[in-house]
Amino acid sequence: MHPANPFKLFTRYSVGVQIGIAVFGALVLVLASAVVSGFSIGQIGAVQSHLLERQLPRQRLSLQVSRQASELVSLLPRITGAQDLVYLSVYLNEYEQVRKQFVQAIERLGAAGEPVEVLNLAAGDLAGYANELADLSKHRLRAQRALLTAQDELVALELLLDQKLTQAVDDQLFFVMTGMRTLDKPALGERERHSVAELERLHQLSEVQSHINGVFAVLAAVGVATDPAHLQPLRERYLAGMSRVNQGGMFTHGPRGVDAVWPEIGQLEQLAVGHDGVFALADTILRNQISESDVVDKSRAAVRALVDNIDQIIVDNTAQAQVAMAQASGSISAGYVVVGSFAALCFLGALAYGWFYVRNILTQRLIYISSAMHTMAEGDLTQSLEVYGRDEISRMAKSLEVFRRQALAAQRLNLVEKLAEELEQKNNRLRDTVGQLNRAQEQIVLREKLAALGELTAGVAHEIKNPLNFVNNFSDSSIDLCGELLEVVGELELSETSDEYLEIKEILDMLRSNMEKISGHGQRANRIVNSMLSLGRTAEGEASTTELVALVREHAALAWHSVRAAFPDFTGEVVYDVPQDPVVANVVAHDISRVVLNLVTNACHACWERQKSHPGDYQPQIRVSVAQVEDWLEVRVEDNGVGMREFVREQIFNPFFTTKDTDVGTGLGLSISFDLVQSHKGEMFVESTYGRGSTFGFKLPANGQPG
Amino acid sequence: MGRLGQRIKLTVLGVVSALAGLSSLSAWAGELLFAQSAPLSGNAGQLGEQMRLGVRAAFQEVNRNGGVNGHRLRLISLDDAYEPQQAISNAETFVGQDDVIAMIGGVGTPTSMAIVDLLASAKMAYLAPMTGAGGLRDKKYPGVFNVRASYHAEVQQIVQWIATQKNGARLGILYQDDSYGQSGLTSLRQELAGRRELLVAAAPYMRNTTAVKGALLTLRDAAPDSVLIVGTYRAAAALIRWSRKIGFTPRFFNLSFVGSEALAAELGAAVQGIYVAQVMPSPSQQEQALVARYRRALIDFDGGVRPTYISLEGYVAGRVAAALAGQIDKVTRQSFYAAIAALPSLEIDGLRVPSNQVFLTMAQADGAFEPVN
Repeated sequence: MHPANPFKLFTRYSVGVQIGIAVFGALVLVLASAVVSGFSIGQIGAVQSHLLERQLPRQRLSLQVSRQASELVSLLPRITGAQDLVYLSVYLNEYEQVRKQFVQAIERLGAAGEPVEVLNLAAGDLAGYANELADLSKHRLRAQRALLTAQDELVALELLLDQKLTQAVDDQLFFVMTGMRTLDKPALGERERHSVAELERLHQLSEVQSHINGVFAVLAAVGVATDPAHLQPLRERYLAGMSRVNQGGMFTHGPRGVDAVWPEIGQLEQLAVGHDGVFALADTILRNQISESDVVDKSRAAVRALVDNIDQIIVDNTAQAQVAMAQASGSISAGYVVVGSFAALCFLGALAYGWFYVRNILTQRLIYISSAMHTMAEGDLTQSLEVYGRDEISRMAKSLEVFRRQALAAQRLNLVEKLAEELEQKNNRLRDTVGQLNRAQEQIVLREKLAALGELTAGVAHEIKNPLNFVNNFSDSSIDLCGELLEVVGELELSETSDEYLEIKEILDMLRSNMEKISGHGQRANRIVNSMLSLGRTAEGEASTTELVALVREHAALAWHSVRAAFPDFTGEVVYDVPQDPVVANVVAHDISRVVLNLVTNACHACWERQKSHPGDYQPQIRVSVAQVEDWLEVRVEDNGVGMREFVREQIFNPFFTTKDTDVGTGLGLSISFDLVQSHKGEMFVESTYGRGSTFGFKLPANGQPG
Repeated sequence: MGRLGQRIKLTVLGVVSALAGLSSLSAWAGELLFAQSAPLSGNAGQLGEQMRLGVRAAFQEVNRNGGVNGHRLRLISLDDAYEPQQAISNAETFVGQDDVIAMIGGVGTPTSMAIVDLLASAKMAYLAPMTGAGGLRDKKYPGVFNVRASYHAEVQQIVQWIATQKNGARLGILYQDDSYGQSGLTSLRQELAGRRELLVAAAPYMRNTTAVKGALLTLRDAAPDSVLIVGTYRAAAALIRWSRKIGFTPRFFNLSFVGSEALAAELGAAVQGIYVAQVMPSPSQQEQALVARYRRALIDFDGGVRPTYISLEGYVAGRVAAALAGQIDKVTRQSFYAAIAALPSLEIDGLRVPSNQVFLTMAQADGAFEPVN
């Protein structure tokens, strides 16, 4: 049973309510724990949101500002390196966009609470620098383009001047040599053509041509100058060259000069030192580039300062963030502790609940009921249940108890019925046994009768044997005497046809026949006496290990020969179906021999009977078989003789029951065989079909002892 | 304004004609565009103009007959004023223009030599340049198809003729100071090697000028019987006129590049007796099938224009372009270049090109040129 239950009073309520109460209790604990942990997490969350809302955004924004500033600076070289106005405007646009983003980033940072005055100032500065740079670059690019154009023109001009000067020199030389200037005028004389002026002109033209080449070389150098300082020396060289050219030009200027060249020289001067000449342009370009470089440097410096500023902001922010993080960690640890302890508490509470309550109220009782049911299922309905409480489990127990009682009652009823049945069965068996006993008693009575009869007949037979012997002996000797008489008569020399001989012979024949009849009947009477004597005899001799096959063969043959001797026309034959190996049994050989002899004799008689009445093509056959069938040794004698009818077969083993004529059988053979077999603890059997044949057989225990 | 202005003018011209062309393009399966960079102004301006005229006349004739496989032929031209630098600039423009099939009708040796490598690497063909320079006949430029005989062949013809004359053993040469002049000089030297004729004076002059007087004095002092002029018509005319002025009267021989009709125009009646080697049949020889068709095409194109040797050469160039394009399934820059590279020669109305025929002619007082033999 179960121990005293402190929670018994709970059983007043239904299981649902009980569980409800307990669960409710557990829930309350869980809720409490959740509230506490929620509160703790809330604390942490507050710290976290503080961080997220305040510190981290500021960090992010600061970094953004820093990044934008760097990007701005990186764009500057592209502006200064722009190859033409189109690219310049593209780059300037890009710069402007990034600058706007930069300004926005600063605004956002300011909105997030950082002091951004310094940053705004820096942004303003950068904007100013950008504009300055844009202007400078544009100016420079225009100048560069103008310079390229000017250089192209200078190249063309150089070629043109070269051609023209060559032409002029060629003409002047020709004139000097031949005095001819135009095709239509005649040649001038030597005095004119070799005049100093003309010679000088030729010389100066050549000078101009060579100096012009130098001037163009100087101007080419201007285009590739990298330092505005270099421009001045180049300018000097240009002026030196041009003064030579002009000097020469002075001599060529005039109505007889090569005036055609002068406009080109004017163009050259314009292209070189004019307002938009290569010197001016180169100067502008180089100075602009220096200015641009300055502006870029200033921008870089501004950005560096800005980045430093932002770094400081970031560092400050990081420090603040770390403080907050430390706070958060503290909250988290506290939270862990509280939540942990509450969780432990809940866990223990649940355990307690589980152990004390569930176990005692529910589990134990259910186990108890279950084991009770198991006991009942096993068959033991005697154990009664303890029932208490009013909940579902109690009801279960109550119902089970009721059921148990009913089952017990039923079981007992069953038992009674079963006993009654048993009793009836026993009665039946008793009746059968009584019947058997009656029959046995009848048989014993019969046997006693027969035994008495046997003793009687044995006594009578003994008594009769003597006189019978006399009768037989005398009748035999009488037959012999008749024979002798016949011989004497034969010696009388009587005619065999005489009446006296014939009469004597007839009387002697009749005498002999009578004697033979007497002998025969006497032998029959002898046989009867012998049979009667053997009836009383019980099993004679000791049992011994006998080979059955040889025994069967021998006595079957004996039987057959005796029948043949009695009825020479008998054509039946004996067929053997016996095993090759010896079949050994522990039997009284003499008795079994008598049985085999009896059976085979009967079989031959039966065949003879059939042969007599239906000679036809009937082939009488007697089949003798010996076989071991399981634990029995079977000997069968099967004949195809006349067979037996039903009522005959039923009585065939009864003593004195015979189908034969009185002088052939006594009716005791089969009865004796039956008894002999039975005394060996064997069984005799018979099968027969009237008109077809019969099978007689007996089986002996294969390893048995005759009894 | 100068060259820039010229460029602008031509660009506008090109745009307008393109727009005009577009509107009439609808009837055609497509258009095959050929480009020309040649002197259309300056001392050699006539040469480029005449070539252009001939090509356009040929194109118009072909277009009037259904074009090439349903495609219309068109020529665009840019002036290079016989300056190599400008020729390079023009060639770069054309190479960069995707629809240009090939260049045709260029003029001059230095201008052609300046662009031939650029065109070879762009796999653009250079068809019938008006130059006989050996450099362009080099096997390393498979994309160049020459229509005319080489300068060497011209010089050869001239020298051989001189050799048949009684008094012609002394030769002089006026040559441009560039690759054209040099190729003439070299060819003359080669041709005279082993002959009894001697080269007694060789005088250069500055290209694209008429500054030939110094050279004239040099030549006069050497007293040659014949003077070969390797230069353009202006310089040649100046030499001839001034030679006569100073009483120096050798036989003057010109290569075809001089521009026969331009020379005649410069000299007027004074052109009589001046020899010019020709690489094209005479444009007045109407019995020839080619010349007849040429003259018809010219009249169809511009009725008032006189037939000239150079415009005939341009016409042949145009006909060659059309014939080649007609042999190609899908005419692209690459397929045209490949066709030219694989083409040994072509026949245009009985004239086999590249031709190696040189006809020595002598100018008549009326400006006609009659063959000498």
